[in-house]
Amino acid sequence: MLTRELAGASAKPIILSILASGESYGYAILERIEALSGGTLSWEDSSLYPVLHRLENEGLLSSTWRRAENMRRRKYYRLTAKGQEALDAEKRQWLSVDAVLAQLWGLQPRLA
Amino acid sequence: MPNRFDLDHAIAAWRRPFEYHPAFSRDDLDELEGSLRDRVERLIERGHPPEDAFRTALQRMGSYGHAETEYRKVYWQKLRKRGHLLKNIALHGSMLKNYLITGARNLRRKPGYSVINVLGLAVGVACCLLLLLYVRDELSYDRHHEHADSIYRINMHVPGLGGDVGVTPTIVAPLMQREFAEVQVATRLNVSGGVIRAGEVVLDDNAFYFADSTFFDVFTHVFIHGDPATALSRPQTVVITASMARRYFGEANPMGQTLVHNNDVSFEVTGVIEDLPSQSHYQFDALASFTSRPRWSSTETWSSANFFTFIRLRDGSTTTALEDKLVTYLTALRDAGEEYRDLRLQPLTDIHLRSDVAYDLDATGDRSTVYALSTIALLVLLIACINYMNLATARSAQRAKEVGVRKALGAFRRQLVGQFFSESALLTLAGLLLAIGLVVVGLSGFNAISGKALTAQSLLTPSVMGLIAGIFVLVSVVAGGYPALYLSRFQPVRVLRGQTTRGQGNTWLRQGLVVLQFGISAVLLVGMLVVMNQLRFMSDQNLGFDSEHLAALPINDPTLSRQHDAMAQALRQHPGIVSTTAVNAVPGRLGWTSELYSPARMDEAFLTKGLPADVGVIDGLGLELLAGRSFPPNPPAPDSGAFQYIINEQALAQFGWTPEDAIGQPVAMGNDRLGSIVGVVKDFHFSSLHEPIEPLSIWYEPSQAQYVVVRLAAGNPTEAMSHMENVWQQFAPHRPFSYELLNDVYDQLYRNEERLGQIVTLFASLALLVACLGLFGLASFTTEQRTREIGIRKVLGASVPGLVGLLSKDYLRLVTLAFVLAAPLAWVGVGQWLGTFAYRVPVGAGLFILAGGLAVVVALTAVGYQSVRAATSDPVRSLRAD
Repeated sequence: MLTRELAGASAKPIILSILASGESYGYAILERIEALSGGTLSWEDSSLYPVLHRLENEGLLSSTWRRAENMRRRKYYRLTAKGQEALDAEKRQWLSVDAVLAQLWGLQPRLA
Repeated sequence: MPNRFDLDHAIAAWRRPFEYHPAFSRDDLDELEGSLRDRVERLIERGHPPEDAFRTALQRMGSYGHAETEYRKVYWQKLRKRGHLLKNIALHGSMLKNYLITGARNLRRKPGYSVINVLGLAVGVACCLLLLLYVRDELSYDRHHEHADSIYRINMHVPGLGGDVGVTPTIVAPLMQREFAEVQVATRLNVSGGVIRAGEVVLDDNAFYFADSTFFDVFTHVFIHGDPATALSRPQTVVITASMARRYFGEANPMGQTLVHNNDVSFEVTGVIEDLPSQSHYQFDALASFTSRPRWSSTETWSSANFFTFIRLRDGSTTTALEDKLVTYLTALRDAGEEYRDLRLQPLTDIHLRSDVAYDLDATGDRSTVYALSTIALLVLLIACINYMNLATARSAQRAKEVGVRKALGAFRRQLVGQFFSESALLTLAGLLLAIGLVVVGLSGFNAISGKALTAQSLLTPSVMGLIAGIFVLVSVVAGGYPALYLSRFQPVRVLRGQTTRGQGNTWLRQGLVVLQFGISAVLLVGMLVVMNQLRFMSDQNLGFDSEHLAALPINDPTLSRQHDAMAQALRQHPGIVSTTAVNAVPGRLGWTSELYSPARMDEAFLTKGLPADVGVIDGLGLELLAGRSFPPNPPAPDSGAFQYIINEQALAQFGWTPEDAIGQPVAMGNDRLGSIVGVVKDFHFSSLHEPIEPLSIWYEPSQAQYVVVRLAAGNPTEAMSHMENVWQQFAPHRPFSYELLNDVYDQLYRNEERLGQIVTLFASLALLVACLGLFGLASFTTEQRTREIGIRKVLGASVPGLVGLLSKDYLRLVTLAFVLAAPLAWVGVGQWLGTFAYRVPVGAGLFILAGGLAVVVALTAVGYQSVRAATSDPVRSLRAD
């Protein structure tokens, strides 16, 4: 499990990265995160959605309501151009942190 | 299968608490619900039973509190960004509607409670509003002048009088104008009355003043006809008010018409102004030019202070600068050995309420009354607020269950708080509307008591509306605050299990409020009794002379004053008229003040009230001679060497003589009335009982007479009265018959106290009524709570009187405690008020016992009704109810 601070800080790049590969909706994002982290990252719904809304407010995401195959209404989020820029910026920051820590701990930086 | 888990129901139940939360939009909830459903489906696919899947999925949603905080953060961001404020307001509006509907339903369900609450509040607020209108009116005196803030009156210090007088001699206005650059303009005002005739119309109740032509440069008056700049610039001109113009000239144009003053001097109307506002400290019907009296306008003298002097400061000038210069100037006069008087500035707007000078124009303003009434207004409002809080908390026992159920159904605390505040606001609004109605209805009655001319329109001024809005917010929040914040904190589980219905702290608070409420009522009651006692004391007080059956006829015009001797003789022809005399002023209104001294001891001069009079003054007024004699029947005309004086005991004490020593002693008054003492009279009250009896000298000088004083025989005065009227017609065909009874003159001295007494009586009674309404409601709730206990006691053989005693005992204790706490406060308060009287009624324990007894009896009546009802109810019924 991550500390609150780290979870909070990492939410934005994780969400942006997932949506970079195509539009998606809330529950799918939650499942994706769980699968990628092998269960170590597991967010509550009530933490994810406010972040999505905040990013949408900031113009990094756009959303549309569509009927899903089971006829339920679903809100799909996609990355905007501004979101892409924000993701690039996030990437640079995380990579530089990763590079420093990797050298300190004698590891090969893997993210690059 | 009845207990089968239904996912849709479960989800609907989960969703409900969020529905009314502003931070969650419908879309947000759809999204969350979609997420929940996706997860449930996934779990069911993996083989979980539906109920189990739902619980697990719910856990993964996260806590409600967390979600609310997170959503709220984003919500405000959204609000700012997309300007969704309108939607937000609409949402709150719909919520408010819900609160109000629920509130109205609650109020309908408990009509008695609502009526008591609304009525108590309405009466309380109506009292408060009436009193505040009164106070506001008192505070608004003389503010209608454009330059109100830069107008000052010059008061004069009179050493022997121990204070200032509002009147100044003729020199002051021209001197201020001449010597001080700060003074833009100065003006003098002389106050007199008299009979005024125009054609056939003769009236004598006019206030006929004289003023410099600069009067309208200082004071602002609206001219209907004429020019303020020139209206008073010529001699024998007069400016009249619109209503005086109507009285004398009807619809005809009054400009250029002639008014005859005291059957003597003619004045030309050169201006008509709108009637003076009632908040003006001077009230004239006619204002004549100062130059009409050359004796005043052409001389500048430091003697005869008969004029009010006003100045208007130049813009940007300060009073401190002027005061400094004035002191320097007057000191220079003194050092040069010239005549001078100490002069002081008094702001115009202070005259009505903050004036402590003698010889003031205005006798109606009274600061302590304003303080007393403001205090009463706040206290009555406080009582009404306490009522609401008390009743609302008393009901908490019943509404606690409602709170429990609502919370269990998912109501937020915020919503409950909103609910209670809405109910409080609804009741307050109803109470305020009713209060405004009561004010409108009661205003004429209140005006009659208070002597004001308040109108319902004054409710509409922004400041009063603001005040009402302020009361609304204050009362809703204070009155609704306690139950809203206290009840909404209840834990649903404990409440539903039946705990918390009787918090000890709650009881303490409630009892404390009852004590406060009755304490306030007790203070008002004591105040009321003391004022009534003092009023009775003053009207019963032996004045030291026989004021019964005395009537005074005004002879203050040249025609009458010349022939008052003949008139008095004609009056005495009738057997119903016992005696007559003539005096310069009637006791109760003596105005003449002068220095009296013995020529051998000039440095021991002291101020006395002076009363020039005709022969027969001792018998005529019914004074008691201690030594010497009255004026002889046919005295020589007084000339500068042979004035005859009669002095009272106070004056005697100043000289240090015995009554017998005094007879024959040479004395003098002022500069020109040398003479000797011929008699000594016993002290009598010639001014109000506020003042101790002062030294007095009466001397023979019939030419100064302004009144013929007539003593009527005891019994039916009708015939004597018609004789008086006939004589009057014979001697004074030029003016209407009028007279005053001496007793009325004295009553007028206490008009302020009379009013205060009536107002305090009214509001103390209403305060007690409101407090009792509250107690009545409170008692009904507590007895209701003890219904079961009463039933059991009855079954076990308790008697009805025993039960009534049991139920009333608590309240009796509270009211008694309230009284014990309030008594010292009341003692101090009434002591201060009584301190303004030189002669006052003693405040004994009896009065406090009476007030306390009254409060207890009234309170017990309110509680007793509930107690008797509960005690006589059928125990079978009350026990079956549970």
